[in-house]
Amino acid sequence: MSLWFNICNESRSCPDSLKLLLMTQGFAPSDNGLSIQGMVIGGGAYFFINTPTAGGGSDEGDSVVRDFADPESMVGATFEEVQSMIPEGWVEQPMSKGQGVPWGSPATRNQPVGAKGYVEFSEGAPGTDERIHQGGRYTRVSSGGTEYWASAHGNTEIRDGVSGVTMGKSNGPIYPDLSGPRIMPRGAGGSAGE
Amino acid sequence: MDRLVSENLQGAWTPDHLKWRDLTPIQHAVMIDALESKPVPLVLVGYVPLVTAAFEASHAWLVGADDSAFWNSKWKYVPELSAVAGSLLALGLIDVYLGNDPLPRAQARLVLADSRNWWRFDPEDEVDPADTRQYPVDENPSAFPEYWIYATEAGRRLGE
Repeated sequence: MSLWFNICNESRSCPDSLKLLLMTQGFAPSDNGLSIQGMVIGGGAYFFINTPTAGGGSDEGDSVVRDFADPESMVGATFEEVQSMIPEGWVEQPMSKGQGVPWGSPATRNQPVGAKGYVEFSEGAPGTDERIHQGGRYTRVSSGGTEYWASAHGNTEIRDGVSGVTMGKSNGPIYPDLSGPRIMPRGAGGSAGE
Repeated sequence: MDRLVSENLQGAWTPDHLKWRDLTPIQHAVMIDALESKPVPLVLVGYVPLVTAAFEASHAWLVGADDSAFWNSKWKYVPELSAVAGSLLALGLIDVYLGNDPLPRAQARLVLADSRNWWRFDPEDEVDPADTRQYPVDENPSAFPEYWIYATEAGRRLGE
C-alpha cells in the first residue's frame, strides 16, 4: 500500500500536494516505526518532518490534518493547534472583554490589524442563536471571502455528533497566508491560555 | 427594524421583546460580532455579503463575483454596516468601547457613523480596483483607533 507513497516521496518530480494526498489517504507507511509528526505546506514552503514514535508504530490518532482553507478540517482543533498555524508576523490582539485569543494580519499604513484576515480561538459566546457558539470553544476564521466558525476541541457540538462548522455567508477566496494543510501531532489541552 | 428603532427611541418598545429571528441578516452578522467582541474595522473584514440571486441581479453593478475578499473593495459595505450598527446601538443591544471604557451613547453613535473608523483606502493593497481610485490617499494616516463593539446585557439576552 505504501509503494506509491515511497515512489513519490523519493522522486523530485513528485509534487508535495500528491505526497500529502497519498499520505492522507492511507498510502504512507505506518509499519516502519515512523509517523508524521509535523508538516507544513503553504506559501510555497513545503517540508516533512518524520520522527520515530515511541511504541513504534501506529499513526492512527497521532496526527491530524488542519487547514484554515478547509473549514471541516478545523473541527476539533485545540488552542495549541490553532496557535501553531498562525502565520508568522501576525499580531495577537488583547481583548478587554470576552474570552479568547484573536490574531490578525499586521497593520499597514492604511489597514488595521486583521484587515487581511483574522483567526480567533474563543471559549464560546453563549448569547448567540447558533449551537456552535453555545457549545463552547470554537475557532473563527475570517479572511478574504471566507468566513466560518468551527467547533473546537471540547465543544459540545462535537460530542453530540453534530456537524461542527457554521459557514459565514460566503465561501470565497482566502488569503494565501492562511491557506495550506498542516499535519501536526494531535494536540493536548485545548483552551486559550491553558 | 426602522420602525422598532423609532419606537424604542420613543420609549414605547424594549429590546427584551426582540428575538434573533427579528434581525435582518446584516444585523445578525453584526450582533454575532458584538457578542464575540470585535474592533470596528474587523466587523467590516468579517462581513461577507449575502449574495442571493435577487441581490446579485440588483447589485451586479456594485458587487463583483468575489471582490469582497479585498480590503479596498470593502468600502461599499461601510454605509449599510454603519447604519445597522447604529440601529443596534439605538436599540441598546451593543456598546462601543475605546479600550476598556464604554463610550457615551451619543459619542458611540458618532464613532459608528464615521466611515474612517471602518475603512480607509489603502494604496498599497494588492487590489486597487478602478472604482476605488476616486478615494484620496491619506498622506498622514493615523492608526485606526481601538474602537470595539460589545453586546450589552440586553444584546446577550436576545431570545430564540
